[in-house]
Amino acid sequence: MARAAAGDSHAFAELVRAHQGYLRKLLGRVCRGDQARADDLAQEALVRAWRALPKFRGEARFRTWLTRLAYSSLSAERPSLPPHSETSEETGELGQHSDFAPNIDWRIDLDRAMAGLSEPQRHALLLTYCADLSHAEAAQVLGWPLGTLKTQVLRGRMRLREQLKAWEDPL
Amino acid sequence: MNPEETPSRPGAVDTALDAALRQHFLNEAEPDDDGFSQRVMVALPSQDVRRRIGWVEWVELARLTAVSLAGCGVAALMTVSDGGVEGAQMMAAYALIGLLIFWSIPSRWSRG
Repeated sequence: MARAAAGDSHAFAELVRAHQGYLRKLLGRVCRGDQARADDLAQEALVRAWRALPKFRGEARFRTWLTRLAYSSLSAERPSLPPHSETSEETGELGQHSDFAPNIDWRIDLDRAMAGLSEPQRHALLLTYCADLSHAEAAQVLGWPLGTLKTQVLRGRMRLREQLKAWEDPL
Repeated sequence: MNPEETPSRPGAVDTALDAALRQHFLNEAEPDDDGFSQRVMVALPSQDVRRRIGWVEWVELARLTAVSLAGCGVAALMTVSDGGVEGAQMMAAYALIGLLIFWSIPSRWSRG
């Protein structure tokens, strides 16, 4: 990290290789599967990280800092996250089993349920579970108060639970 | 998360859902690098650009400091003491006001 901050491009290349996977996976989810756009955002975030690295003081994890840079690129495209963009009703046929193995069915249903969440809930859950950030780190990335983040996580999880009820309560 | 294995208590359900979500997202495969890192490295600005950005920030800081000092100087010079404002003081004040205006205008020199 220190070598990269001092301008060692080989050291920075190591950082890029180590973090690109998780960042592109997260942004792919954020961009609802549009991996090309996710890659553009990831690249922009990494270039900004290279520029700003001398100022990085290590107060947050590098992963948190990088995610924050990516989210600031994202919010530059979309100035504000909608407060409660109520859902595209893609609930589908939850609980109906197909020929898939249950585990795969559950994943498909989860993806559908995630698509049905409001934007704040989706971002809160993605940062918490997909990026594996703590609530405090996720709140920092989104620029929200910690309480707001926790509320959105809770609501999002409750909503997922409703959508995936068939998987928890067999009759 | 087979339905038949799911606990019935709400707290336990939350814990199970929490664990299932974590497992699902963390176990999901990351995209292959497939030349992505290489493209990022090619897109990086050169060291000169990076150094110049640092230099521009220092120049901007110096400009703001100079403007603030000039402002304080004008205020001090314009303060009327018992003898009133003298001609030399007025000249100095005008000079500082001129500098204030000059430094306040963003210029291509101060932007590096």
